[in-house]
Amino acid sequence: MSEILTLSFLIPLFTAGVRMSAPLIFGAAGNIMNERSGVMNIGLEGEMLISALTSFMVAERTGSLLIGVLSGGITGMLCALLIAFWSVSRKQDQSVVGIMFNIFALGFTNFLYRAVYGISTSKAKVSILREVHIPLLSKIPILGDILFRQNILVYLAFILSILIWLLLTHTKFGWQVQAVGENPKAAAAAGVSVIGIRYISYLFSGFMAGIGGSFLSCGIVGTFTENMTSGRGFICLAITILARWNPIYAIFASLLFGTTEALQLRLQALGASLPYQFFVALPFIVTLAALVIFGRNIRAPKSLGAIYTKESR
Amino acid sequence: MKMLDSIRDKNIISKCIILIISIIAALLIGAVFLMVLGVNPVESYYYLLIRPFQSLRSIGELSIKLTPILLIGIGVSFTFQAKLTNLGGEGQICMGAIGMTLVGISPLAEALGPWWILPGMLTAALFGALWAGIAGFFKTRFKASEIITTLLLNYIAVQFLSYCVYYPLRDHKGNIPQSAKVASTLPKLIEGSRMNAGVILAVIGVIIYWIIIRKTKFGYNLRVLGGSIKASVYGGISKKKYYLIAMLISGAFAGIAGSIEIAGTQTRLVEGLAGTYGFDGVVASLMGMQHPVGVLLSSILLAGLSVGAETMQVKTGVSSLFLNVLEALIVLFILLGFSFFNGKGGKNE
Amino acid sequence: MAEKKTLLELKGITKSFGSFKANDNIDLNVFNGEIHALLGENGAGKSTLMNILFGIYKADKGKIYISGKEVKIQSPKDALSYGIGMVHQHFMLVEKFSALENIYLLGDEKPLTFTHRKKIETRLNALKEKYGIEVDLNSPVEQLSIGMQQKIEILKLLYTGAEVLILDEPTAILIPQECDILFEIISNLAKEGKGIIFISHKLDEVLSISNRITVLSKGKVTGRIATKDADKNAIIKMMVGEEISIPEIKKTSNNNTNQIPILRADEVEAKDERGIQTLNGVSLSIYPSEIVGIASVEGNGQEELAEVMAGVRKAAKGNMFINNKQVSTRAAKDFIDNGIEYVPADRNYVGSVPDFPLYENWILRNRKPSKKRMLLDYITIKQQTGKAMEDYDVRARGAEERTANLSGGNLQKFIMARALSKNPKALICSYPTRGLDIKATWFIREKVLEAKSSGVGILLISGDFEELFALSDRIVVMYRGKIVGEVLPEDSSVREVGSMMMGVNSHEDA
Repeated sequence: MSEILTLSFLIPLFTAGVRMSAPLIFGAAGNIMNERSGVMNIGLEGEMLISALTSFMVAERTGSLLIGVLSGGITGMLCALLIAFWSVSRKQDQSVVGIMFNIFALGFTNFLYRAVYGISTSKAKVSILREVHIPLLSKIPILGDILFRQNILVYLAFILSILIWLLLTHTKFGWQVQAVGENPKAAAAAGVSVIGIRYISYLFSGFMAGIGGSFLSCGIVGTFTENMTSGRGFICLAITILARWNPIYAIFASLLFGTTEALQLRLQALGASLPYQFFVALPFIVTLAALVIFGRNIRAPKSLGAIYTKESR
Repeated sequence: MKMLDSIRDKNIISKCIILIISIIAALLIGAVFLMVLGVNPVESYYYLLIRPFQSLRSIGELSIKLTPILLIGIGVSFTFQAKLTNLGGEGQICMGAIGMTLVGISPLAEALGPWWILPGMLTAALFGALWAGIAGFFKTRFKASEIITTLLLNYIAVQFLSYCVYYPLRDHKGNIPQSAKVASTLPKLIEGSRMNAGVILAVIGVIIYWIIIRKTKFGYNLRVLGGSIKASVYGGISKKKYYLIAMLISGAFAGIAGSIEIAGTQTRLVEGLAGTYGFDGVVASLMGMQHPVGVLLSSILLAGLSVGAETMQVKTGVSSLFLNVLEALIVLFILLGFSFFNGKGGKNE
Repeated sequence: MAEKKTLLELKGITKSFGSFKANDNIDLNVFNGEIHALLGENGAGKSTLMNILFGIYKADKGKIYISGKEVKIQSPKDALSYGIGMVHQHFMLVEKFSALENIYLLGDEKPLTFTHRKKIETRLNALKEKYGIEVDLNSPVEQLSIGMQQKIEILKLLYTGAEVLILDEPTAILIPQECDILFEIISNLAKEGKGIIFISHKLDEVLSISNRITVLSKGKVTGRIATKDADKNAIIKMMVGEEISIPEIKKTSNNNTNQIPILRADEVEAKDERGIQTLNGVSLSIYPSEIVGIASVEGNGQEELAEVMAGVRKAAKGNMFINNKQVSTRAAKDFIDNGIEYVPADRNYVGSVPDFPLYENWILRNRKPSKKRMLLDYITIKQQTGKAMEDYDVRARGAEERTANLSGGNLQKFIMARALSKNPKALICSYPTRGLDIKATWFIREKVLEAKSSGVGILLISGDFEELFALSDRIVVMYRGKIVGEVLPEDSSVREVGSMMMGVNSHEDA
């Protein structure tokens, strides 16, 4: 137990925590934009999973991580386009569409990976994103190591979250998004295109989910494994609620879960006396507890999940 | 579930047509995926769709899968009626299986002989109900979305089951993490196949569902709650009470599915016994539009495809999870089909 | 006065919803500086026409001309760009935004620009001055009064430079004194050259404010008159299509002196949907064979009072008594079992489940729909439904008809039939004739009176003064969640009640 409280344990722990929080930040921040416009994206998990695969495949074939990650983002957007079409244009129940999309994604990634790579035991790999040390800031003791020696996508996650917050609260577009999520009829009467805004928010969160998924395969692990998102998309949904639909708070919540994940890996490695299943379940237990303790009596965007029809009598 | 709303008063015939067209469309798109990757779709589909129904043995396999899919499908249909989305089938079936195993390897089972199965199932139903009840409690007390909580509980339950077979319930003979065999198993129905009596219970479950939902005030109240929460308040129906009971019932059904897995198919507790049944049940409920016959037929279809998918994987190397792709496409096409049927009739003056 | 020009012209507008023709070949024009009333009873097609003009609906046939040029209006954005603005009956405001933020949405700024609060504030203050509109720009709209929200809606349109302003039943939610302020604003707008379309079903107010009147009935234009030439009876005939004799209501006196109240509220307090306490301590008794009218501005606790007394809302404090026996406000079933029935304001989502067939909605507030077994006896239920539909003239294809397909009048008759079929001891009616056409309105009122004479104690919440004064034995006025006065209709006036609804108490010291 005493070994846990040393800096040589804690610094790598928190560094890993920051790294593991990045996919969550991407997913949650994008999802916040989504839900603020009044539509749910339960299919986030599926978007992340498919993008993890495609980004890996493209990176492996082209040898370029950048192209791989970008194609992951585009994949996410294409998935979102599908989901948006069913949810917004065809006005189907958003949670059903999302659930079915997740089932699709699990089958599709499995099928595709096997078809392309077969089931050989030696796995195809890519080298993961390298660290970029920020000059000056990375020299700060402790914090410098943890925060400023990450790969470029981590920095991007933080920056994008802040930008999304700015966008939502201080630009006309952001106000339009909020209006659509609170009272779409009022927004429409003010000349805002409800359908347009919702499509944009789906595409945007799809892109973010795609980058988040790519980060898993290209930024952390270096390969694709079956169902590698293992519930992160759902944790992002919980983070969205805990963060009260504020991207800045989402950063903190994601850091909490990312660190929990990093912790459970390390505790397992240390041979802690609890069975490993406990550690695997830990992030989910923590998420559930947080959702229940801190997630009550908060005000979601008023029209979240409700189906909007223009000509409703 | 707005999908229910848009189809509730349509012709049965048009519903069936849309169902059939969706299945065909999904198969066509699936074929495209297969061809693009150099796989012969005709061969794959033969193993997927036709083989499962050709031999007594594979029909037995079908029935083994049918039981949990149907039970979970019905259980989930209860909650869908109240517009609740219970995605926790996987976790609830695990907890049910654990409950059944606890009774099945206990001295009680020795004493009771084959009758241990009854208290075993009761325990399994209880465990499943309680696991679902956690999510129900969080929903009614803390307004926590049941979609998220049931999903999170799945991950936790799967780990808990793994822990059980590795440690406390582990069979010390042999090296594999699994529990000891339970005292006895459900009777087989047909020689030469693995079909067991559990499938009869599943069908009885369908009948119970139909009676409750269509013929009792309780079922009516659930449907009112699903139709309009404000109307349920008006009608003096307690939203919290009904949400909780609906979750408990659906958890109980999943728990019983778990018990049949133990006493019928697996004979002992092992990892992965939940398989994909949790979501298959949800798909069956959606495809069957919460109608008892619809859910039954959809479950049979899904069970057949599930058996076929395993054969397909062995014979052609195509991942058995390809079935997920087809399932999802079918439901999405059904939704698409019904989205074009939006004329609900004009107002009468 | 500026030179007269035609701001807007509608030609041949036709629109059907399924088999129902809401607008049939309608022509309409609006000049600058005029207040043009669109008059017709509920369901005549007025709102549909205006929603077409504002781009919310698309007409099946017909053309729209702005200043002589033909235009296509596909969305509110188009309408606004052509200078057409609309204030809807149900306000189109984002509740958690302030007035300023709501109005900002309509500006010309490009989406990806930073928001400049000061700039808009200055422009808005100038507009407020010019037209004499007093508005709180910075508080969240949900915290403001209905009257102020309406003024924000009007300010919104002026900000976008609307030349034609459509006001859809603007006085529906106002008390007389607020109506005066509104009419003054409208006059100012007309003086500045705007064209106003004033939609209403109230003949008297239309006569007092408009320059011209176009009458709609059953989707068609049935009359066009200059207001100064208007003949009241002729107009009524144009509206309804027949001579309607308004039945005479004979009030029966009742002796309440030694009776036990059927329903009694004792200092009840309650919160509304949002968790805000709107009912702040009300004590009220309802005796058999009487109609107690409640007059109040929307949002002053009357809805919550009705819900508590019907047993569908928990009282935060205070007690409810049925026949002087205390009942818990958490136990809706006790209210239902004791014969307390409720006709809610929202017939579509509260009073019924829209997607159910009628016979399934018949048993909505029934505790024991089948006397014999545990199972529902749908044969009997369908029979009962069918009979009730006959007795109450509910027009539908049968007891299997999907409830959402019913018109407002028919649905309300169905709900009334359902409530009265249980032989209730008390009946709570919340805005029972709101949005109904004249025939259905009087049918419902008749049924209420019938119920009263057969001994039922009735609580009637209504925004229609005519209705309150005609039907009530006594009128209780609520303001800010409390009872501020009680009057007998024959001893009082609409003005007096209106003042009390605003919190002005003429009998006591402030």
